[in-house]
Amino acid sequence: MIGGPPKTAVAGARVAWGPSVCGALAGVLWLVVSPVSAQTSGTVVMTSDRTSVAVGDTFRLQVRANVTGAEVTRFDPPSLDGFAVRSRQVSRPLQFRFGFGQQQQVIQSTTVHTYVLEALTPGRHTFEPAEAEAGGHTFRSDPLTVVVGGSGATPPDPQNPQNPQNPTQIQPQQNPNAPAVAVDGAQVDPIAFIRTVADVADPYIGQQTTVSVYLYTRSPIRAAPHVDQEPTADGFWIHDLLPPQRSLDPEIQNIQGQTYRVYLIRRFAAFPLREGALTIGAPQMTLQSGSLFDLFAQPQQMERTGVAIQINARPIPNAPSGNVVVGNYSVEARIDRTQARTGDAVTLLATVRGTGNLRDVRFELPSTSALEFLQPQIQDRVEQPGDRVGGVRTFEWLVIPREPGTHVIDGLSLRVFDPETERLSTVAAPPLTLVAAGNAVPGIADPDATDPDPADVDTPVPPPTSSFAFGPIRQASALDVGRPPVSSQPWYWALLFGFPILGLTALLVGRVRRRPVDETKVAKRTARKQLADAEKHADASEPREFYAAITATLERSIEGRTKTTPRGLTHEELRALLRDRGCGHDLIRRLVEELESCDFARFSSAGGSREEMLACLKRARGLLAELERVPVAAEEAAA
Amino acid sequence: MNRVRSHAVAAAFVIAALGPSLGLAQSTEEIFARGNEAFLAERYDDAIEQYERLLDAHVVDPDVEFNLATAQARLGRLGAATQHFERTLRLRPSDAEAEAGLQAARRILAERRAASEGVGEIIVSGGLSDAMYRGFTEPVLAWGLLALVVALLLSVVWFRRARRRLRVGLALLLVVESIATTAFAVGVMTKRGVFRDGAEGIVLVDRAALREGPDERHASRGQVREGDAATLLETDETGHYIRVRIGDERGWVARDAVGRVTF
Repeated sequence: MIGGPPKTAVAGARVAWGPSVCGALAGVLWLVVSPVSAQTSGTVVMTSDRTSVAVGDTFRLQVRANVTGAEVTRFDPPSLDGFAVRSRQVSRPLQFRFGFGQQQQVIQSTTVHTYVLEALTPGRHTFEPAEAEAGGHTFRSDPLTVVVGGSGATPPDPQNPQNPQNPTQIQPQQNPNAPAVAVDGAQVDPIAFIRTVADVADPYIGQQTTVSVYLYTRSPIRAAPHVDQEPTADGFWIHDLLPPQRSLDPEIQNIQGQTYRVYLIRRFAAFPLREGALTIGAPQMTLQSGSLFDLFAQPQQMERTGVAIQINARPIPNAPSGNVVVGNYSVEARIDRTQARTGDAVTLLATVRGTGNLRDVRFELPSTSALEFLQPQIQDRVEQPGDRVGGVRTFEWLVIPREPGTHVIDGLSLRVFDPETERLSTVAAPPLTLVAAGNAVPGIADPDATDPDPADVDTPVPPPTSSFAFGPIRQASALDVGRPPVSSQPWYWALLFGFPILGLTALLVGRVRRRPVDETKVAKRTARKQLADAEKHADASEPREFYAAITATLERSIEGRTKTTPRGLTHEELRALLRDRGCGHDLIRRLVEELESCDFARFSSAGGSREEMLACLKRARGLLAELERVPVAAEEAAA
Repeated sequence: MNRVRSHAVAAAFVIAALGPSLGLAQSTEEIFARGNEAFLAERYDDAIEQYERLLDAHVVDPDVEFNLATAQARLGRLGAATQHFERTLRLRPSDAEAEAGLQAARRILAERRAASEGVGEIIVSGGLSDAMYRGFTEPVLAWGLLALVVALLLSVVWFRRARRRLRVGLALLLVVESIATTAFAVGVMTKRGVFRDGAEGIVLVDRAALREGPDERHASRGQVREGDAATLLETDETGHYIRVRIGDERGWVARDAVGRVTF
């Protein structure tokens, strides 16, 4: 859990050159004879993934000897007293580099000793320099110090070796100014993962804990990752610590033998608003990895989700009732003048400086009959040196003395809890004195304001005590009992829509009643029915009935058109009637002939054949069709 | 003898039926008088308590609302005063004293804000339709609409039966009546809140927290200001919080921080 920036102890290249010309000549000769270079140089580097551990914690110590021009013949690791060696690995990759032409052939030798050590005793342990000998030269590393603290580190979860709350192998902060890590959440991934850390695991309510979100990637990213889901912070008041515009520069870090690029994505100050377990939610990001300059490689898009971390907010111990602010503050106060007329406004300025959540800082200055405090104007100047939020909060009141005399303003004090010392103290500004002269001036909340003296109208009165006297009250009232609105009653809507519906219904009924009977259509329908009857008579060989039906059909049709019954008319009168209605001569002639022939056939046995009757029926249909085209007498009159 | 007995029974029934209402009438008058006495004795808290008892007894009266508003204003509770002046004007739009009191309460609230913050703005309720029908009560509009509908119907009948000379004048009358009917219908709908998404209210507490959810643990979106008009959208299950819209902001505030204007 506990970890600091990784230390690297690097010895500078210690190359022993032949100081003499002879040596140089021997070297040239050796170059000719030997297939490899005679120049020998090298470094020995000793590194540890953690420099601050607790007793029982394991960490990785690595000693790397790089030698060019010779092979490592001897290697002396540092003394490991005070630590138990849990594992040891030695690797000796040997590399040859061949040159052409004027280039030399070079041999490069690397020896890497990796130890996993467990701290046994607390204290400050210094590893002596490691030594490597190659080509007759000795190379040394720098010493390395590891601080072992007391026991108390969270034991690793055996069920979950990658317990997000205990990523013992992760050291994200190369920057020494980065906040310490107290709560840690990460799910290590061989390609990329998100890590969320907080610097205080159990802050008091109102105390700052700094939360940082890092992105670890093996390969560089093409652009700033898109944060699909911000880390939620319910129960906290949040203040961002990173500027909105900044460059995303990675730091290189080695985790479990793998090199990662570490990007700082978010950092904010979180102030708990209530006690108990509060959660910083898991962030989610989408990123594209791959070098921007690698034209042949396809960018790889990845989505990663972080791990939520839990902060345990503690209540402020022995906190009195009322407003207690957490941090470190000082209070100053001043007044723009110490003497004023009653009713004149005086400006009271209070300045609070310090570290903590400034928004929690407030003063209660209740108005009295002698002094009225208007709502203050509050201005904040938030600063964050070293990622610790603080700054200056300024309160500006207008104070109106209502009564003459000497008034003392002494309410500008804060109860402050310092989480570092865990002490509660009171910070206060010295009392201020205001001398007011003049007559008493009633305020808005003053009962005396009911009957303002007209002489006071000209007195300069501040805006909030405007000269409006509310009242007088009403002494009599009908004391109506509330009734539901008229428009919410069902009967109202029944009436509202009933009248139009009734009216429309009456209108429609009247219209239907006044509608004229279309005699033309009735006559047409009757004629069609009579023709059908006639056809039945023809089929039944009933000539008398057939011709009677044809005659009746034609006469009814003529009556429908002329509005005059043709019965009883002579043929000449009928011709004249039809002529008056605009019938053509041919139609008149055929109608009269058909009526004559029907009269004749009704009493004659010759016209009784079926064929004769069907021919008559066909003619009658033709005559009726022509008659329907003749204008009706009433329509013509109306036109 | 039987007749006397039947009269006595009838009288008993009448007394039993009217008794409670008579008692209530006396009671509300007494409460009103006690409230007024307390006000005149400058015991404004007592006066407010008495007037609120009347409201609890379902008294909906502009004078009670006015007295309550005045008592609240005397105590400096200008948000509550604004609420009850508004309610007075809903019941009696022509009440000039209530209108003056409302304007004064708003002005003083704005001046307070301006003195402390440089700018003092009060959010007032309603849109164009509310402003148009502010001078009318709901019953006036409702009955007027009904009368206009009947008049329109009669005019249509008259138009159909009238001689041709009269028809031009009747057509103009029909147009005027149609416009008036539409206007009154919109007025009734406005009073019924058809064009609003909630009841009207007023913020009673200055700088009460406007939260994202109906619980004090939810994050604060800001503060509401005393006297601002609010639309009351919904109440949470516990009844302790109410969701409001104030200007363009929406959120939850404590139930006691807002008062209802709509009856």
